[in-house]
Amino acid sequence: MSESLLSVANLRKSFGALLVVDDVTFDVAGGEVLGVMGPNGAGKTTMLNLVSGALAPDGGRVVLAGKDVTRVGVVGRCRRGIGRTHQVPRPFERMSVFENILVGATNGGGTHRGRERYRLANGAIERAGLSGKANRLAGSLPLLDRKRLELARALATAPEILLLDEIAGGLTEPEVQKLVELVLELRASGLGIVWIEHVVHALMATVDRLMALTYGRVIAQGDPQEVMESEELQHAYLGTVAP
Amino acid sequence: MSAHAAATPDPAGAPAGSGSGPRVRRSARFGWISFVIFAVVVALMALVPVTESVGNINNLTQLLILIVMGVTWNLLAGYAGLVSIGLQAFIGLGGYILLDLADNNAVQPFVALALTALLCGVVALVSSFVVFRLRGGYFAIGTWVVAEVFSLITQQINSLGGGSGTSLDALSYLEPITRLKDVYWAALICAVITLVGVYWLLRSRTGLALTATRDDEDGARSLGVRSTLTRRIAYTVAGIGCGAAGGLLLMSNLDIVPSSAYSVNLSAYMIFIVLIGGLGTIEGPVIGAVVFWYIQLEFASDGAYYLIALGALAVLMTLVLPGGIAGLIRRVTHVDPFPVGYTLASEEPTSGGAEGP
Ligand SMILES: Nc1ncnc2c1ncn2[C@@H]1O[C@H](COP(=O)(O)OP(=O)(O)OP(=O)(O)O)[C@@H](O)[C@H]1O
Ligand SMILES: [Mg+2]
Repeated sequence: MSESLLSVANLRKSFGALLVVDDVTFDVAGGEVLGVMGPNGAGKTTMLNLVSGALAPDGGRVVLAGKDVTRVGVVGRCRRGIGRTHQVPRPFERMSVFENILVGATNGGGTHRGRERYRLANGAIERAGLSGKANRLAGSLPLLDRKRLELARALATAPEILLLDEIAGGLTEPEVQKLVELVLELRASGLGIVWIEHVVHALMATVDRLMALTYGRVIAQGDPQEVMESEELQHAYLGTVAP
Repeated sequence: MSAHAAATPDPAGAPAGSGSGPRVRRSARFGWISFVIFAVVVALMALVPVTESVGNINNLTQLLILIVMGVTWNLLAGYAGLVSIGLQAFIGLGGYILLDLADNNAVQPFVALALTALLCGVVALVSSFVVFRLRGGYFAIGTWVVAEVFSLITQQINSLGGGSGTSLDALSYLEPITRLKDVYWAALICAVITLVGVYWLLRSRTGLALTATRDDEDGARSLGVRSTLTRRIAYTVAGIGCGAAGGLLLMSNLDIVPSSAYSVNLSAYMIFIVLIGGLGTIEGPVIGAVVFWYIQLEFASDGAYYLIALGALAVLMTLVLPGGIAGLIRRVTHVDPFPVGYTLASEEPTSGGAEGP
């Protein structure tokens, strides 16, 4: 495997007595997509928060492009190239869609200036499928558009590592196809992507590797097909969601 | 970090090095009209000492001070999401710093006014490290506590008149009429600097980060916004504005007592001004200040009834006109006279108006 862009080792996090992320280790290279599956409450979002820096881990390390960023906060990690979406969208409701995205283009990875940030924001609008809604107030958007806005804002930060948290839920089939194409395009341009998703066929169409989590532990990781067919995964989902 | 970022592909899909890029509009259609109106009003205001009576000059000085206070409170509450009931800390401090500089240290009073504003900014910056540990209602109360602490400390300082107050002597070198005029012009300059400065700040990258932080701090941080630093800048600016207002109040009234210089009533006035005028708009606090000033002129002598009516009016306005007078005008005219936001010009026909904050 090529040198990894993002390297996560032995991450651990508890909320009180509840161990939510338990010794999670994985690598993502540039131009690679890692899919993450697991039942509700498995700790996927928490794991993502540890990688983005929104939460501080109880143990373990996060290394970005060879530099240990475990002690770097969420702002610093974004500026160093980690972009993320939120499972529950967090729009700036009293600002327009364009302004929301401009916040990412202005403050994120590139900290771009003048026209450059306008170009970045405009490109992100088109890619996320928000064309025609740029001047709407973000607070007036329905849920699906709010999710698109999450994606657009993350793209506008010019990330090298992109963390996606359930962005395909609720999309129509053609929309899922477009999203898959976008992710493949981003991968081809060299981004490393971690994609948490319940929409299995979207994941299977894009990911290079798949990781399965239950109760905060990695129960399987590797070739997507093999992970899907693994006994561990079948067992984890038994009685919950049919994969 | 930027060297690394520059070498990576562009994930937003912006065509690299392509010509002009998207057109972004930052002014309203016919936006120049509001600036012409602003310039004309400022010019007329500058002539007031020549044309008006002594009484009117003094009254209009009070109006200008109210504008500075309203614009400042609105910067925090309307654009930074920082609702404070303790900005009188810097108003009182402004008065006492000016007093000390001018009377006890022989600094030229108008130079002292500028120094006072800056020093109050420094104190605001330092105190932000304490009050920013608090959030929401606790922040509001916490800033009030800071103001009370300042007041108690001031009362212990005998050279500043202690608890019974004192008066400013440094302006006695001027004829009373000259003094009134000079203080008026100083107030006008402060009001213009505050308005232009706040407008410029809100249109800057800091302003964008500030409003994002106001709407969702964690969301903003995940996009690389240094939210605490951004808020600190706003709080420092508020300290500067309130410090200037406090210094001007002393130069205009010539008397100062801790109990009224640090009075929480001042916060009530600022809140009233901003709610009546329009929270989170540039012109709102100016309109609100004019309304409040007029009410004060006409009815202040009615004592308790005046205060009751003021409260009732504020409640009524927030129920009937949540956006204040500025909000009403905007809804009727569909014009944001002083826009701070960004509009993507290519999508304008479909836009419902990017009114920004
Ligand atoms: N801030 C918190 N405080 C306490 N418990 C939390 C907190 N955040 C998450 N949890 C708990 O941690 C567990 C893992 O939550 P997490 O959101 O990471 O799961 P998930 O895999 O993303 O689930 P889903 O598929 O529903 O999004 C859950 O039991 C949740 O209740
Ligand atoms: Mg989740």
